Amino acid sequence: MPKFEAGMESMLDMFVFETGDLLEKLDDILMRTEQEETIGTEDINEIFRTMHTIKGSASMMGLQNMSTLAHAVEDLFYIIRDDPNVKYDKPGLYELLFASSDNLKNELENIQDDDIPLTDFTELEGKIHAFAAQMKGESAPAQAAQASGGDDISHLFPDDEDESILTYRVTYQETCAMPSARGFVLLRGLGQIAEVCSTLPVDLDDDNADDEIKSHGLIIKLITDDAKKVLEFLEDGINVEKAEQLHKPEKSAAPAAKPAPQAAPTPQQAEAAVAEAKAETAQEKKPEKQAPKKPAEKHEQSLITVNLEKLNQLLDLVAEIVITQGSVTSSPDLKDLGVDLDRFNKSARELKKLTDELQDAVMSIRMVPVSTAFQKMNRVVRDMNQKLGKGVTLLFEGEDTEVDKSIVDILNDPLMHITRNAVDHGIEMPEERAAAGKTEPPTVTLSAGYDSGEVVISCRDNGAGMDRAKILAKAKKNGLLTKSENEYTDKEVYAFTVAAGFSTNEKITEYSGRGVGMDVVKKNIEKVGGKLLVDSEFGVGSVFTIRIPLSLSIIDVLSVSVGENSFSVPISSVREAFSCKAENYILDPDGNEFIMLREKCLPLIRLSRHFGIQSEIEDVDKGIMLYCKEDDTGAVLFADSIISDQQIVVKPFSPLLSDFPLKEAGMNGCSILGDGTITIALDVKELLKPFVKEKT
Amino acid sequence: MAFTEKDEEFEQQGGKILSFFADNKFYSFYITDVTDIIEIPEITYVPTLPKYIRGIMNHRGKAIPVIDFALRMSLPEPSYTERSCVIVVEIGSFQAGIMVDRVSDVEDVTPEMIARSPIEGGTVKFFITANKKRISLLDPERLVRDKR
Repeated sequence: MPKFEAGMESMLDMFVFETGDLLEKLDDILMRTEQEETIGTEDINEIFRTMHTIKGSASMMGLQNMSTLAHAVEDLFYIIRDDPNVKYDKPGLYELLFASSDNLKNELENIQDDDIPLTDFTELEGKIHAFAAQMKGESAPAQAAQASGGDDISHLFPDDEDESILTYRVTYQETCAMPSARGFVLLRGLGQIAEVCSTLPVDLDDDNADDEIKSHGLIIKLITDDAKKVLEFLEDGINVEKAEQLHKPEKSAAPAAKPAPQAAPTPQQAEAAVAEAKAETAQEKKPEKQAPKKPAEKHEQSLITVNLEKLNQLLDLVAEIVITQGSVTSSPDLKDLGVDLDRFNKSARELKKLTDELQDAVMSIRMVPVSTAFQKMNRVVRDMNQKLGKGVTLLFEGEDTEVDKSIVDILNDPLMHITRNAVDHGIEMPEERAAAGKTEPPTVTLSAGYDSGEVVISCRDNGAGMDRAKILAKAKKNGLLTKSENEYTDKEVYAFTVAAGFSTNEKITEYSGRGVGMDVVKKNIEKVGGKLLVDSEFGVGSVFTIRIPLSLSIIDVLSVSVGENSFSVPISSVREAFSCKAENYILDPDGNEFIMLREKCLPLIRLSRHFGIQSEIEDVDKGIMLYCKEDDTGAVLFADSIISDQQIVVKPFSPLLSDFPLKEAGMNGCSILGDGTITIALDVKELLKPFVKEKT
Repeated sequence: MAFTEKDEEFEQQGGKILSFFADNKFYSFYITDVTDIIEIPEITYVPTLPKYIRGIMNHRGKAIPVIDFALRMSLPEPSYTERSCVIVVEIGSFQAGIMVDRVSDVEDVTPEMIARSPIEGGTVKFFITANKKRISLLDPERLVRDKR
């Protein structure tokens, strides 16, 4: 059997995304309700709906294993929903639920890799079923005899039916969890070789459809030229046990006439449904209780999923429109016309305003709050609390900071490692905390924000902090020391903790201690041009900080001209722009140039000389000075003149230029401006590097 | 860089090339590598790059590097005219502009016209003899990436 239904490959992305999203939300609910220790009707319904949707879509994809697992969980909640007072083992339930959610998530990753076979969830399902049975205080209802609904087929043939209409019945294997979904796929395929007139059950989306099909089979009425092909097609469907063509019986005198089964199943049919449901599963819902479930199939329409590639394409197109618009409205041909262009100019201004808005809107689409990455950590901390009994509270700060989607994706893994580390290594055991006289509850705080063109994500714990002596001893043991112990600054010592093969934890725990995690994290962050910094205070706690450049984000810059070139300095690094008087200029005997600014002596960087550009402006009082500061280092940049302050999207230089040390020379990337010209974004930190004082 | 499948296929079956002219010699790229031929646009100088990289240009919303072919090949610097242009080539998923004196022609090449360069991984992949002209078929990646 293929991994999933043929023809559904195109749906795979969507399926993975949607299901992943649902599981994410499920985790949130589980975490919250576990903490609150009560689970409201609303939440029960939500979980129920989530599982139902996953069951449905997994089944649609032909992923039987996921579908049945979701079905098992759905059953659990069916019981809880039906009887909110039902007694059950809460921690046990949550364990099962989290296990199911994790298994489903893993499977989502597996199905994208053709080499990994589908996982068998039977064991977990067994546990869930056993739990459900226990919950009900008995093993589920005795298996009723199979009701025979399918034998009397005369009602399927109304007297006035056209002779050319053929009738087929498809029966599914008993193990098939959602025959309605399978049927739906079947009908879709059938549309190519035959014209489907009607089906019974009429509405495959109906909640009773599954039971209906299980007991009576799926009846399809269709018109076709090639009856044989249709039959073959039906027989080839996934999970199809039998497909047959039905013929009108001689006597069509069934008193039952034409039932409307989807509206009100006969008692017989309901019974059949119960019988079909596996012994330990809960009985299927009764028709009158279906109302609240319906909306589950319709997702919140306020959100749609878009392929990132399409979005990038849109972004490029908008950029081109902006550029083209600029060249149209300022076309030299217009000047040659020599007529009054008042109305044209007015429209042009309006157009510009609109395209500007369009550009902003498109750019903002790619931005997502970091909370999506943060929220996943809730789960990590919850699991660890359970195992380690540390009772750590996870706090968020600035979680609505918006960053580019790609950055959030990058953050997921490092955040997980760092958070695990903080809980496992950082926070002490409750006894130790008490012994150290710490009364405040143990917390791990994740915070996010921007700082000088970078996204700064930090993870702070109020745990034991790092022991300098211990780290040094360990580093010595592992042969990591390159100079004498006393020469190491605190920061350098703490940096050992993220070096390869380093772990001060005596015991290797399930979560950390092998000393592999952090150096991988560090490498991954560095790969995208970011940094991982460690700081700590013994007895007070530690902070891990991730800094990632906003590679595709809008930043405010001050653009200056140097000769014929335009450079843009991030406004976040510019403290002041000023004209300098000649008397504030100092040239020392070594040839170094300085500028006195309010009692401070600052090094002068002439951009023209730094970049080897011809500029007519040599005198310091003719050009413009930008006082820039990064961390504790300040310097003055000298340029010809200020062009404008504007917002730009900095893009890295073409990878074809990666062999050249552009970054080291102080250039971050470039940006195409509204008029189509290019400005080069400066990396002030890199420019100031020669002036950074080594702190001791 | 070893020969790619594309190169092998070209050697055996021939194909179309875009030839251009520099310092009395003919050079060419696979026509499938060429995405555009444009007039010399405004080029933004990027400091610190080698001289043969003229800078970056805005090509359909992307900033792509522009290589001066003559400088790259250490040929005498031509006086660019209105017939001069930039050939935009695709290198992997990236683009680069090659600034040339003038584009010559699109030539149909048959296998017997092709001679493989004895130096594997050189700037020139094949020497092609067409209409009594000798045309070198170049590896655009080597033009852009290889430091001189």
